[in-house]
Amino acid sequence: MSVFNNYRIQLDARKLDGMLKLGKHIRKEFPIFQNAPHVYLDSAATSHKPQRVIDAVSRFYSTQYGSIHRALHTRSAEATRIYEMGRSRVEHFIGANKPSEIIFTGGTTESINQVAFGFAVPRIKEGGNIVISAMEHHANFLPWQRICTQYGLSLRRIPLTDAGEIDEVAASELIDENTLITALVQVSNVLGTVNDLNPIIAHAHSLQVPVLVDAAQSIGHMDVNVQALDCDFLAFSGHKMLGPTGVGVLYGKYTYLEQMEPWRFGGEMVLHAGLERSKFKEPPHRFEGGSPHSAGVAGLIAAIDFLEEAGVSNIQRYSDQLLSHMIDQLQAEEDVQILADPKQRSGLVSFVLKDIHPHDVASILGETNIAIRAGHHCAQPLLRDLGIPVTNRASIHCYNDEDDIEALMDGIRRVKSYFH
Amino acid sequence: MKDLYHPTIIRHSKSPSNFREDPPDDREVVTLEAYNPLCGDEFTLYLYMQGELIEKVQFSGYGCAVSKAMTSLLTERLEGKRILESKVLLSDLRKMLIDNGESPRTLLDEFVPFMEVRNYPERMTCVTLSIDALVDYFEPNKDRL
Repeated sequence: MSVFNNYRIQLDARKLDGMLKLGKHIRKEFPIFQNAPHVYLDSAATSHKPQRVIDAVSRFYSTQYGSIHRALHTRSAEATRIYEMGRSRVEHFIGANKPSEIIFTGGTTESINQVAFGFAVPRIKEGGNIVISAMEHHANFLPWQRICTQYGLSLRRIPLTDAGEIDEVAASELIDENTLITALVQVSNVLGTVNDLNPIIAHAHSLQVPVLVDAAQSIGHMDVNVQALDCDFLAFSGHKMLGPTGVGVLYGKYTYLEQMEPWRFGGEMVLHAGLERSKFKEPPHRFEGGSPHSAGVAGLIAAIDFLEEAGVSNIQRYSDQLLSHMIDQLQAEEDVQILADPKQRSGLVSFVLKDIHPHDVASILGETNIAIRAGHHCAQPLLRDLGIPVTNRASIHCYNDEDDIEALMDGIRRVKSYFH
Repeated sequence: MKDLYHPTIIRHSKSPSNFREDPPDDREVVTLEAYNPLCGDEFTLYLYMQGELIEKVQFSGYGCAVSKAMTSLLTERLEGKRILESKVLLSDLRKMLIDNGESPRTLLDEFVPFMEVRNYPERMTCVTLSIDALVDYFEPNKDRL
């Protein structure tokens, strides 16, 4: 970690101006850049992994592995210790009150489904509604749509302002005393908008409406603190925060977790399995049926180590500057149209090239190993609202730098030369 | 990549043949939807049929350079063909592009640039989008692999 620590000192010293090359040094900690050199501008889809995360997963299987919470032998005890340490690390990382408010899941999608089917469904009342925003990822749209169609609730989508932010005024009208739950994204994976959720959460709470925050795109890019947000549930994935795939987190205020029902039944989540009925463990264990992805948790700990040593606020400051630089470059380029103009944006920007399909753009860039995303970004309802079937999206993390932006701009000019 | 974006493909994507912005008023026209949920490409093909004869084919919609150029070329090639001939053409086209067998029966020279897509399997659906919509219409019971 020495390299990063050196740069952390520089970051702390606020010597950021003119430091848009920092990512080049941080990149050395990510072996994929040496093994398969490329310009990676698709971190919003998934982030690359530092060596220490890869090592932690490997070490877990090579030296620490055993079934967790079950056997009495030392391997099991060691594996359990690491798994539960992961819970505490996540607790502190997001500012929860106690480790038992942290549930390990397979990822954001599973976290949200757990709340939808374990928490929302048992509380359904006739004439109720569920409120989401118009910029939700399918993971925070389809579970709610499913419940609404299945149980005859209305699904309300808070519209966006012209700038591409959740319309606060509309939110206060749509969230009412019949709202079962509100589920909102903190950072849009399509527009990059950072939503100021506090006023909406305060309004929801004034009506006793619980709020779930989808933090998949914000975690690791900015300080995500459940006390500051005052959200009731928070969902995110490991793989977008430099951690392994297949592991994610659901945070819930403990009082709500006590009311939530299990959604996956099976091994380990039960206290007493009777023939007629069964008694389940206390939260969080009753929500972790089956053998969990313990190695993923070991990797997640290493990812949190990395982020905390670097300082998430330092990463945010660096990444904000780099993103502004990228947006300036894109805006200066003829025939490039940027989607949305929010007050605060994090980590990504969507754009389209005049008369050139985003898939052609991404394909041609891919030829010179520049990875950007083209598609609907799992947010078809939003793109339908915007009247654009697909976009290009360039997204960054701490390992990017201005050379990557230059490569992107050169690539865009090459794409244009094909067609114009 | 320059090979996939062959001048023929660029030309047809920029100024496609038989392209129209809006659907025709003609109620007799056969309308086919070619939709790729993976990428959002969506074309509507309009077939003006006279019995067994395809008098004219037009299309509207949105898609990448490759899918648009392919659709454009198909509309040119199918004009004036009988259904039977069209089936043979489409089948040969699929063989040439997917199975890599040069067609013995029909001359498909203008489609040769699309063979480059074989090097970009993730773009194969761009090439097959409109072909498959037509095959589905002409041979609704055919199991396509």
